[in-house]
Amino acid sequence: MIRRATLLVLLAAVVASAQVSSDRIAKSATEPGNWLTYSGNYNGNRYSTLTQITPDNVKNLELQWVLQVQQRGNSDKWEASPLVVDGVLYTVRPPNDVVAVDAVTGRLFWTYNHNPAQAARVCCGRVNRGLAILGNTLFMGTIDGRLLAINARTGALVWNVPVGAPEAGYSVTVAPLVVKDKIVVGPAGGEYGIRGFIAAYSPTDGKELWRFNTVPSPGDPGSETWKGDAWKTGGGPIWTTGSYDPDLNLMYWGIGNPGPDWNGDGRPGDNLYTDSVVALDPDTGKLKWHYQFTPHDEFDFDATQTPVLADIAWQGSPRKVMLWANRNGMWYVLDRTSGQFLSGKPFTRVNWLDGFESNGRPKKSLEPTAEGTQVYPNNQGATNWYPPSYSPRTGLFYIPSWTDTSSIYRKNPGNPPPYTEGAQFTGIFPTVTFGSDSVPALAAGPTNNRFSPGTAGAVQAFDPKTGEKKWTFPMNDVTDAGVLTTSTNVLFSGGREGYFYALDARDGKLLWKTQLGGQIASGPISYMVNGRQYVAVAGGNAMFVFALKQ
Amino acid sequence: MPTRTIVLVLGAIVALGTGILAQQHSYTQAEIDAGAKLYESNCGSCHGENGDKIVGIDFTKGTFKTARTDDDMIRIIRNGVPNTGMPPNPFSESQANTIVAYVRSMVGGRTANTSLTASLTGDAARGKTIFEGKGNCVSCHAINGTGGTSGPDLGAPAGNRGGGRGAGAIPPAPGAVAGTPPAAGAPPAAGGGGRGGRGGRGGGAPAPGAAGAPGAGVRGGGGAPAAGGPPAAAAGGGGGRGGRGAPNPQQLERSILDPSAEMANEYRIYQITTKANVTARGTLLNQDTFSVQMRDNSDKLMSFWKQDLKEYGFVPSPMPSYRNVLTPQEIADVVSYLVSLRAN
Repeated sequence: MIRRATLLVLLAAVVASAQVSSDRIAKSATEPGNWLTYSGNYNGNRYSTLTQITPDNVKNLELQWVLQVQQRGNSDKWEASPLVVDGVLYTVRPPNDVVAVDAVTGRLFWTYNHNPAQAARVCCGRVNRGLAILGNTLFMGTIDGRLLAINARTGALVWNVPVGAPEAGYSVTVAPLVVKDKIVVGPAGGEYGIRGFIAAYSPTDGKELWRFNTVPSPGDPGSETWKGDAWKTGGGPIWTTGSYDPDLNLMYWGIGNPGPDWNGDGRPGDNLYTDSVVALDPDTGKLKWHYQFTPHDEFDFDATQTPVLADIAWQGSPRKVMLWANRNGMWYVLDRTSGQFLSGKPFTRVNWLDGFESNGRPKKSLEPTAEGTQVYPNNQGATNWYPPSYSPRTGLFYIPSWTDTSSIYRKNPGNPPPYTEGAQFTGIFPTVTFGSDSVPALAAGPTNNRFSPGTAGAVQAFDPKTGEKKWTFPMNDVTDAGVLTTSTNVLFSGGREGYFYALDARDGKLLWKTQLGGQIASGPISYMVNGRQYVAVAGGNAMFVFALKQ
Repeated sequence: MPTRTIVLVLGAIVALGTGILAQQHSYTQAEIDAGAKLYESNCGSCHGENGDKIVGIDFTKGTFKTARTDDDMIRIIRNGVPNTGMPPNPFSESQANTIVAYVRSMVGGRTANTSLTASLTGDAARGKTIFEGKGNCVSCHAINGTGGTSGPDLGAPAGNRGGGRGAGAIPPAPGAVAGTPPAAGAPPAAGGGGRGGRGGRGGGAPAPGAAGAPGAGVRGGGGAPAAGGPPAAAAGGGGGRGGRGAPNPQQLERSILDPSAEMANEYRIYQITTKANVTARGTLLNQDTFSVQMRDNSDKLMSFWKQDLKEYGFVPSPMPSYRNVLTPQEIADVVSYLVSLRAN
């Protein structure tokens, strides 16, 4: 006991001395024991260079500790990706409770409980995807549309500012991104007719420093892709953390669906910058380039995936690219300096487009109809916000996938739904089908009752240089789990069935699995303390931490 | 979790005061239609098209967590439920009322009105004759206890019915068990029996034979589930609609025309064969990427790693289609007969 107490004091002392700077995050490869930002680094590749766990010994992983949700009302999916800073693990228990625990023992240092206003409304669960840290301050968005700063040593609230009005459907579920001296977030609420934005806040007082409207104001570039007042309720939410290239000084964010989701008749035009990736100057919020994956979307194909930055040989020459597996079923290679479209290929069954124009614009071939249109992939997407991974070691891009899924989309042509502040603004909810079978249990229950014979979930590995699929690891049920890869060619992921497993990143072979008893709906992370490598993942209402048996 | 439920229930009682037994309204079709539109665009994304996507809530069964009355539902729709995913909604009371109208209308399931016999008027008396004669439905299905026992009793009102026979409903796997598969080759009977609430497996005929003793690959296993087990315990040989209350005429008709398609998951017959050639049949309870959980026809709970199995999957209902056995008019008559039993 004395020895343990001493250790905790030592760890606290380390925390007190360590300031997390943006520069430190930019150089995260030099300190692989820490996990300093949502994806582990600014590249968004969820790739750890820790080497203790290997394909040969991963079977010796054993549970070290568990952190459980303290029940507060109904449980919601645990989507947060933790941070680990010098031996302290910070995460968010749903809905908005921040905890700091000893990363070795799992014992609590402190908790900060935020009680969201009852006005809060979210489309799809009271979820939070994690924290950001700068200096000694943690930053968290809340489902009632606020941004909080919390002292990382004491758990005390530093400030609490509004991002958007919860009664109008604005919420913040995304893990903020720290770039230099700014905290960057945006609001979710694409089902409530919000007008989205990406905004930078001062870490010292929460003052808004700049704002990029994801739906442009009349007269601004991109406003020509809207008609009338549709821009006011045009959607374009932000709910997955962006990436950052310090060398180019460009920050990349994916933007969600236009509003209303499933009937675009009241918003003719491409509806920029919904379903797009934007490259912004982090100092000013000015747009450098954009690429729209799904123009004039009526299928809810949010482009809210983690932008994955990779430096690869493209057609024989080194190139700074961005890899993007989209909810719309296509995976893309873009030049991240210019935004140039290099490649777009399906990673599952896709029928809504008929190839691309030379500039990368998709040739859309389907729209919702009064009688219903069957569209592949389904409304939840061929993937979604679940973090993908890219391993520079294997050169492969790993996509959590829903394969062979479709939805029937219906709309009342010419009669888009009316907007009422605070009410959902969507159109007719699509039927979700898998192959020819319906899905009885998309609800995130503790067990999988999905008996459909069709293919459902998978981790798929693609080679961005060739576009070739290298392997598939199929799952019985669909998956909301992210992917973590390591430089030793271990891949960690899971799924709705509650398995947490390790694959060989080179060939997809199953190396190890364990059952956590609740669905995995987040991206795993890895960290090291006192020379021991850990892997952490949330499953069901708890977070589990593994390390090799000693 | 129980604590929370109690708190919410108490809260509802306090809020309602003496209104806990408030009357059920009746609704006009116009109200239901208006509510359907609001539901589709405001509620469906969480509750699902069929109202059964939230654990513990199923509009098609009238299952709610806290609401007891229509006024309860209006209040919850407008104010939300604290500490849950249910947000407040900016609807007027009359708008919320239409949503309640629609949600109440969902009980029994939402079924497309496509019907082979839609233009026909069935005759219950003729249907009874066909049920007992040409169709020979009684060889498998009883009406209030009179008739065959290998299919669900179609007479008792849903909710009071035992859900048909017991585990014996499931024909044993050929070659795997002692005993004769019931109703093999016998004229099949009209389906459409739902699982009848929690009556479950009471009164069912005993299994005609136990599954072959599971060998290698069987993990766990165990005795028969205790009484009061899950409602899915009822096993129907075919045509069980389950999970949607009493079947409506369209569901009855589909059960007669396409028994396997109409079976609810818990009524489907699942069969596994291990690599050691041991076969078991029963009800699939769960499955995932690596494993399968089932209850065999002797009520033994079984679990297998898929890597230990040679084959696994559903087998079709023993009840074949009557599409080419009865005329559309005769089918309409049988449906009318079965519906008339419910009305009584």
